[in-house]
Amino acid sequence: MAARRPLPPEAELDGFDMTPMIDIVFQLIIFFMLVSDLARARMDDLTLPTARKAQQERSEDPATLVLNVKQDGTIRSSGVDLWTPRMGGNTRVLEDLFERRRNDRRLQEIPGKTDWVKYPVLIRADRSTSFEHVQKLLMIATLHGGVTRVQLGARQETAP
Amino acid sequence: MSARRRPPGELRTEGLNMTPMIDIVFQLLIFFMLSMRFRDVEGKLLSQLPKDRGQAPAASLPVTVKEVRIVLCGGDAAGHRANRAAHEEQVKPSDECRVLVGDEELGSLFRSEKFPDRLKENREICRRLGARTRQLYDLVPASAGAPGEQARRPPVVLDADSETPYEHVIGVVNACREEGIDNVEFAANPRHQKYLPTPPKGPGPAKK
Repeated sequence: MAARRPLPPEAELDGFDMTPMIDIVFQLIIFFMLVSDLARARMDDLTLPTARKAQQERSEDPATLVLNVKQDGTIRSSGVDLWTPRMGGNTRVLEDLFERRRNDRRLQEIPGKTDWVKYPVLIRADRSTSFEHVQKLLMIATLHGGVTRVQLGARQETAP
Repeated sequence: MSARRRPPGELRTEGLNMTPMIDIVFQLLIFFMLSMRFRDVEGKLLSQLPKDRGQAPAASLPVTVKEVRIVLCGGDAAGHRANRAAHEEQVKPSDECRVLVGDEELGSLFRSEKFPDRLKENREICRRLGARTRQLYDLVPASAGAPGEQARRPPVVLDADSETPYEHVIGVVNACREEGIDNVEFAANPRHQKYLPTPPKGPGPAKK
């Protein structure tokens, strides 16, 4: 290696200034970290059925209970398996989840009364899921959760 | 602090060496950029559940209740294939789903995953189903609701077999929506149920 030649004295100052680049790069990193996290947290990777009349909501109610139903019927919410086909008729976890929500005063239609609740439930099921799994969810939601509003997730159809 | 005396000719080096940090930061940036995937545009079909308990209806519903009933028979229960042509051997019973409105059969829907070429036919059947449902729905008399409430038509009942692929259910709900029918209810039919949830215990939620 050749020994460094002494630079002219002004090179000390006008070397390549990295500061703005580092600023931008940090901002990009923060952006991608936040975006990738938010997109994945509640929505599982599923092939949703298509529907032309599906409405897109700009702002999502944070109280929404998102339930993902996979092709084999596994029901997941926020990354946790609530029901798997191995559990068969044992739906306790789901029932408990709905009952906890029903007893939450903030979610009740009339506070203090556990008849009906007013948070939305979004059911996202894979297009090939057997309907029995969705039906099971609906039944548990009404029986144990007092749920009256359900949203069925669908992909918006683009082609005519 | 070391007060190393600089020889007079030597250039002063920068205080902090940024290179490793920039390397790492770039790697992070590239990782997040590659691992990011934009979410598909998703929509929702709003739907109502009955406001009383989600009990299966008793076998003896009063016959005076006139309603539009859409039936989706999927899976082996449907007993189709009788009139299938030989070249359609690859169609398994579980791929097909018969559609009935009232007691009129409108055809069969097929799994779009296995038969993407039939997507158009599926859509056409759904369109016809919507039109037929609308016709029947207009014939159903509106029942007088509770005092003070508007008279409401009884909902269209969607009775889907347990084996029916979910996409067909959504297709039917969408078809009804396109015809302006908003109240579609799902039948809780005990003959289809393998996994009946246990009824709630205790005095709590059953009260009306």
